Amino acid sequence: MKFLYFPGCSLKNYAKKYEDSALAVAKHFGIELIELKRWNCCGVVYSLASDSVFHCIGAVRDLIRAQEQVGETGNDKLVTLCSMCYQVLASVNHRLANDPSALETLNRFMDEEEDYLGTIEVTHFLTVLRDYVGFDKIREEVKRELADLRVAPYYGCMLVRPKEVAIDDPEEPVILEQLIESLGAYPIDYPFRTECCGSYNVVVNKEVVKTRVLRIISPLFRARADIIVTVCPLCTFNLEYGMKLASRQLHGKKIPVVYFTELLAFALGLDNVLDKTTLEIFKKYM
Amino acid sequence: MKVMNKMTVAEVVEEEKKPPIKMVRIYIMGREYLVPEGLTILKAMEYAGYRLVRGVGCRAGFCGACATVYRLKDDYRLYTALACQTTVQDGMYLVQLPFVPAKKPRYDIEKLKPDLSAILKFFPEVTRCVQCNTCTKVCPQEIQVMDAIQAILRGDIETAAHLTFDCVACGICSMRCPAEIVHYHVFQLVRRLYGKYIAKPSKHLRERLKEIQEEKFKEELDRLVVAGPTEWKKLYAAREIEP
Repeated sequence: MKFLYFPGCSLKNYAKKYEDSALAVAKHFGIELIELKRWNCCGVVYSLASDSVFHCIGAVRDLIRAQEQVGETGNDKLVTLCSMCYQVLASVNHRLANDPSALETLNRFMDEEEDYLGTIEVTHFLTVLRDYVGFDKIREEVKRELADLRVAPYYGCMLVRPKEVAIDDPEEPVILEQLIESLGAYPIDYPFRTECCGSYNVVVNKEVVKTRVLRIISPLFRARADIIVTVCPLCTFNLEYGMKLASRQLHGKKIPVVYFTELLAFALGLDNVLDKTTLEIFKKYM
Repeated sequence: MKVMNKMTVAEVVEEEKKPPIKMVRIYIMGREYLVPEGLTILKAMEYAGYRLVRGVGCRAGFCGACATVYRLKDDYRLYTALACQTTVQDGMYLVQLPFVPAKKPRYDIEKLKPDLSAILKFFPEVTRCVQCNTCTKVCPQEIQVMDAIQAILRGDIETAAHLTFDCVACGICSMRCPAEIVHYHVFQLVRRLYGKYIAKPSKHLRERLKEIQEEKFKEELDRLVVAGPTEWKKLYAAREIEP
């Protein structure tokens, strides 16, 4: 099965291991993720200004690029990995579907491109795994015994909010837990898995990130979490950086953070796509 | 303007047989002029009496000094071009840009790494790109300017260097950018980083440098220095020219 794929800037840069592991997992299950031939930054943050469409331009241009290439897959889906990219692209798509005049303004402004018709469906790789591979199929393919591995799923905000674009129930998401279970590992239930990591406050006010991360991970020590699994490069950065900032409060304790695709790749035995640090984290379970 | 008193009668008769030169109406900084059809914008301005000191350079489309903006009658668009490469049209509203003000940072290429960090250090404003693509639309060299900025943002220096190879640094993109990016200086840094750190070293250049160091051409050069103008002219006329 083929899908168009939007990587986003972080996955080509700081979060290369997210992309590498995801592409390997997709290939393992016979899914071909075709990277858009041309793409630009999604816009990073979905603008809530209702009287301006300027900050939608980047996302719409990417949706047009996808529209230009739909012939290659035979479906309208555009798969993302970074949850910020997912949220921006899906939110812009949702807004334009409900605001024809905004779509017309954008199409008139971008007169060097073909008109965006609003037919692309933005989706996340997790959804693809659930709907087109299936957790049963994933269970069958697991190569490693992970029963002792206690995994804390961390959703952050972007995949499950707002509800119009949420990939799962915004209050009680289960998709990561189901995935972790299908790998034979133990998903830890804890209260702050959809709390915000502090996001871009890391640039202007590190204290915010430190406080948020302390709050998010505080129950995880007592719950004996071995690793935290994430879906977002910024969440990953903030969790790791926040633990560093709070090392005094945490008495130097840390919980390793990996992308869900890295855990998947390890469970499937695709060790060659994992980097040294990640393999070190999983060493005990080899 | 024909200078009548220098022509013979026969020449005047011959001249008047030719079809009249078609003139077009243009407006330079709001003032109306009639200029012959087929002139470039640069020549039309000179025909109208302007003496261009800045905003003009090689007159061959390479140096990027003659960036220009114009509008056409009954058309809302603001067009951009190199004035030496574009002919005038009837109803053109013209002005010549003398210069594009832009920060030109100094850096030591030896101390930079070929990645996003180098760019952000000197041009942090590239992150303000909102993908409006105006830069691409106005580029007289038809470079995918916005795509190059986007490649830089994901750390892909090589793609950015290739995309911007044809840049003549006219600066029009930077005049139109709502994020106030100075694209042509960014791209110059990108290509320098590419040349220094990413591009494969040229085998031919290495060989030639070795030949120079071994003084392979010294004798020939010494001979030239003392040959004198007559000999130089002869050699120049007989030189090899690539087809």
